[in-house]
Amino acid sequence: MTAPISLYCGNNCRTPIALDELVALAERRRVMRRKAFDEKRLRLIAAVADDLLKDKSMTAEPQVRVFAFWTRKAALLSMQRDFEARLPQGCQAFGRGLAFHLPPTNVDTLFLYSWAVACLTGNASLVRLPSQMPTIVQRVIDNYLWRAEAQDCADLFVSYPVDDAVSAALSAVADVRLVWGGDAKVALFHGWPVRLGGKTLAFPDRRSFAVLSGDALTRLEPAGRTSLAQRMHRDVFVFDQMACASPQALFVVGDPAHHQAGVAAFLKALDAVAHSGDSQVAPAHAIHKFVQSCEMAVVGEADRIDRLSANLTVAYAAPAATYRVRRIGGGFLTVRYIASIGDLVDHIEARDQTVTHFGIGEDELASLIDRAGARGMSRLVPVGLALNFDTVWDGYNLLGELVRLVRLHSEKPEPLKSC
Amino acid sequence: MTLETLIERPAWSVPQAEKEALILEGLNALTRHHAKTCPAYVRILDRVWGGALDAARIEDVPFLPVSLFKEIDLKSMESASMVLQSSGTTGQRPSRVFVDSETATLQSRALVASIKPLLGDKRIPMLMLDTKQVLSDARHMTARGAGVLGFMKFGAKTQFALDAALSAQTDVIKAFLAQNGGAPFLMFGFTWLVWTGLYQQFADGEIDLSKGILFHSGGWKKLTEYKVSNDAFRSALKRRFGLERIYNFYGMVEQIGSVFLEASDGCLYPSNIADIIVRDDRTWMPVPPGVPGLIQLVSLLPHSYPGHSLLTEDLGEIVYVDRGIDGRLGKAVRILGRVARAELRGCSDVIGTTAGA
Repeated sequence: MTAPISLYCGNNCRTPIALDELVALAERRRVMRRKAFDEKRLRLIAAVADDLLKDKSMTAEPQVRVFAFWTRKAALLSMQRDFEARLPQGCQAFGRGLAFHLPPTNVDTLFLYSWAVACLTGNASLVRLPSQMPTIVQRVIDNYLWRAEAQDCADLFVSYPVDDAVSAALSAVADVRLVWGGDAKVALFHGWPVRLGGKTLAFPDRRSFAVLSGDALTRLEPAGRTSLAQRMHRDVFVFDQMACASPQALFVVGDPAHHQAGVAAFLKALDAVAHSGDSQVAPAHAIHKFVQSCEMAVVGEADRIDRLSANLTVAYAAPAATYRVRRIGGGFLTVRYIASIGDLVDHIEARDQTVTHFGIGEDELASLIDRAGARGMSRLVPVGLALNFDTVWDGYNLLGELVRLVRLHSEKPEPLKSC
Repeated sequence: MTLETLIERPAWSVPQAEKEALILEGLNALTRHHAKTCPAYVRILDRVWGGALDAARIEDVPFLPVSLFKEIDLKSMESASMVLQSSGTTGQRPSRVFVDSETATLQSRALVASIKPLLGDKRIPMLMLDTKQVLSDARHMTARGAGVLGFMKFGAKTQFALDAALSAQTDVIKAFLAQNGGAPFLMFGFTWLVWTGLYQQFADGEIDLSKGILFHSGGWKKLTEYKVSNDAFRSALKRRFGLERIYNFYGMVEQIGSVFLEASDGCLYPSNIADIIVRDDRTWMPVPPGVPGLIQLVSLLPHSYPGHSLLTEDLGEIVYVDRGIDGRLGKAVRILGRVARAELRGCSDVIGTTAGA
């Protein structure tokens, strides 16, 4: 016996489906793969975005608003132009087949991007819906299914409780499997092969940090400081600072003697933004942060810990302590002063994902990538954009990963020489 | 020394203002003592509390989060004669509290000072609502074991009512009652053991505990499915056994010996050497009586470990101060449960199996 599987049909309606039926259905959908950026598909996704942008109740949710902007027609056309311009000469791209998406349970909107990218690149998708799906995200799917009904919809959205047999059987028909959700989950799925010739895009645990120029922070006028704090607030406080791309540490290029006041003023502004924001840190987590603070003090990881409020605790790293920081989340930042951005080079690891930056020159960032890119890091973005999804993610060019190329060679064969 | 002054005064007889002044002096002395003797504590003072030492009011005394005792060993002397452990919920590390003979003596004296006024000087027969096995390891004592050991001092001819599997030994209980049930006798047990080991084992009227005096503590953390209110608990025991003298008390292994004992108003009152501060659960600023919040406990007993000022994860409120119910002065407290567990979001599914998910 396998766990009960249900197929999501839209408008909060679910139909039970047997595993063998679902596998057969997935095989039929797989045949509906298309050319990448097929016009009908692009129009469909753009129409869903249009609906979202017109609906005030939907755009009130920042994560849904960002998704809608990301998938509006102009954005998709630009994504298409960019994609096609980079295809090797003579190549056309087609969906690889069935994409099986395993989104994380808690970052509610991520699977929308995973699915949208697979759909645009011409694949059929089988999405395992997160167990906790906010109504607002469900309504995005409702909207898509309703619009897609008129056309031949290739995508399946299913729910099932933890069940190895189901995960294994669905993996076996997947051409591409996208496993989001950390080390344990990636390791679990390693045990189940995908379709012969298929592949897995794995998204294990990642860590992220910010690099800020001490000089630039110190020079900020109050208005600029508030605006930077608002952008940092988005990076830190959305998803409780526990998304892979949420910064846990702030590296300040400079030294306490010159920059401490600027850093403190910025953190105070960040705390003020958090205070006026709508996601307040739970009392139990505030206590957890206090426990962690005391531990860091005892073991010598931090010289000083400043509890600005229930929302934000800042630990100032002891010079001798490791550069690795605790992943505490829910408004806990570790600040470390570095003499130059080059100090980071030796500390970059494969786990490092997003580097948010402020006041750092492009040449310095390029040099950091040059020197440490082989070790790790996959995105460097300005403060405020840490959580914005991109088709290049965790080192994968997702559009490229999800297509199969067909190349027409135009060069003429050299005439055969007669002997 | 303020501890001596307070412990010698009759229990609950010190008006709040006077008590606070005495306790503050003792707490400041303890902060300085632990700062000298506990390297971990002084780091926390320096790095988390900005080097704070003497406080001007008891609410300004630096506090540690009580669950820090689960994470690191905090001690203010070389060798402990005993390590107390919290019973701990499954999957969690228990708290470890290092007690030397000086602190153990203080704990015991403080407990006597709180309980004696209710029992009188004479030792009376005791039915312990626990198993003898809870005392099996004297160097690593659980919170339950420490409670049992502490209360055995007040009883005579102690019989243990439960077997090693925590099932009631009904024949032992009946034999104890046949011998001692006609005159006042003492009972002690954790709240959930009183319920499962005693209340649920007998029919209404099957045994007579009307001469019994019951002290119970620990609440329902262990058995959340039996959510029984304090009132329901009392009336159930009265109906089934005729038991009316019931004293709930609140305390924790990290401040053993400091007990908050129930009075006839159903409120809990701290002993002379301890006090409570209720703080807003977000700002951690003290809140006035009638406003619920996080409980901070202070006690003059912990000398061998820096546990004299602790922020708990319990919620409660101060109902009134110096009201004089049953002659008791000081703060009257109601415990309202525990702070809700926090579930953070994030990319990483917690464990592989839910992730399969």
